[in-house]
Amino acid sequence: MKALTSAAATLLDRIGAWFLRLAEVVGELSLFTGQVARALLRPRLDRFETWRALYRVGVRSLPIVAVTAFFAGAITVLQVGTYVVKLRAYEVVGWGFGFSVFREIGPLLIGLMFSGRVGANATAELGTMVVTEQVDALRALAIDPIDYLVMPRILSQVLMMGLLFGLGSLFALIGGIGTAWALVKVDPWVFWNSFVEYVNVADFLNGLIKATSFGLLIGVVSCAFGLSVRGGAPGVGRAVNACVVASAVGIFVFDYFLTYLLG
Amino acid sequence: MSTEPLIRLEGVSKAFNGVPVLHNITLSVARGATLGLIGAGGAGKSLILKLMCGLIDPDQGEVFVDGVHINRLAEPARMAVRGRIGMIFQNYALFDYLSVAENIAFPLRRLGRAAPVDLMARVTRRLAQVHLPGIDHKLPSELSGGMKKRVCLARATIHDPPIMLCDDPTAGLDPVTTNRIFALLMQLKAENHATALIVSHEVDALRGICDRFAMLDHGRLIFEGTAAEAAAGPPAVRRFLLGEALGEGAE
Repeated sequence: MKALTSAAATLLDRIGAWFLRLAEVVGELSLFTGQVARALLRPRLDRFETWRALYRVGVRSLPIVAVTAFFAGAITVLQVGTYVVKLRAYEVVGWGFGFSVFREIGPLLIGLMFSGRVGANATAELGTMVVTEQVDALRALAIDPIDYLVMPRILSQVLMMGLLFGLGSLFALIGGIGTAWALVKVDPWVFWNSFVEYVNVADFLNGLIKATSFGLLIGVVSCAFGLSVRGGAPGVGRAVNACVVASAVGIFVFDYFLTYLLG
Repeated sequence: MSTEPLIRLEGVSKAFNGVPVLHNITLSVARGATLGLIGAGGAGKSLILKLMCGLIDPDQGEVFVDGVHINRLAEPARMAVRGRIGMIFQNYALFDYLSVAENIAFPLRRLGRAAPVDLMARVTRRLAQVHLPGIDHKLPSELSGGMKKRVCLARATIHDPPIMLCDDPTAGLDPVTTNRIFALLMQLKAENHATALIVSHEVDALRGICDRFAMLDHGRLIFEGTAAEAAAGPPAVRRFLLGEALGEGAE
């Protein structure tokens, strides 16, 4: 009985510690978001750093986003194709593809890939700057790390998530049309007509809002975790891991609420 | 020389994760003076520099820089104070994605303290001054330790700061480079009529350039005075100056 009570106490202790840690992370993220919001009121973006971030986030992410989007489009058509063939509903394959890829699969998969590539990279870069005292050096030179390091990264991640979603949609369309033609035996023109007839701008905008929101989330989370690194190289590793997990969970939570709000 | 302190710590204590690192430190640096801060590794010397720069806040006590109560200022107001400080970091802290020239020009460019036309001329001049001409396009990763230290020195002083905080500026360097770095430090200090605080283990070199010494031992200030006073000071200070170990039972 005593052992059982002790085990229960230990379990409660661990659950309590976990909730305390969660509250600490949420609190730190909220304070950091407040700092970012304040910096937005007096934007002092560094031109060179912003261009560097845009290039690294956008141009270098394009190949991985293109491949992800291409296969996301192709897989969606393969899934839809089973029912299209069974029901002989060839004229809805473009709609099924466009609706699911634009509204859900596109922003979600691109967001997850983006968080793994760009978010993790930002956390590792900022974390390394913290442990090598480069962030302290910035502050000692009277330069605000939020203005100089954080704002360009968040801005570039928001802008590039939107742009990459647009380009990714194009690659998804290519993947979808190609798979529909090659494996489901749907004529590309039938696919295209179904796509333009049933999928409208609102579907694309829905996805675009989600993508840019995920960009904002990944930007804030990755920079917050990067700048809060403690404990040298192992601390950087822990922060990158925590950033990827928090971003992925955040993307799903954001997606849930945005889907509810945007319809 | 005015004896009015430019930097002053009053009863400063600091702990990390409940472990005390500094105990009730009261220390001042007179305007225009050069103070050598010595002590064994982990004594809290680097922490004192970071407190003076407002990078870390004390748990107790006050830090004054040129009469300004820096640890009571909000971050934006601290920036104005830090703009008058040049800090050299022990581990260089050069921005590894920027070239040497970009590193040195960085504070001037970012703070808009020099016209773009003048910027590169000043950088070239400062690079020549630290005996590193022609390396402006290199990345920090392509430089030796001594070169990095001199680039760090050039970056910290490009805006001619009246206060220089140097955290072990010669750590890991050979004696020739060490002497060269100290000579450069003193040259730049003289040019800017600056006040300097130098943390170093090069006691012999410090004797030649410092007006006063302060010694920390396990986070406590155990000595403050001139080199002559140190020679007649507490045994722990004399032992440190002579390079003897501070073992158990040492004062």
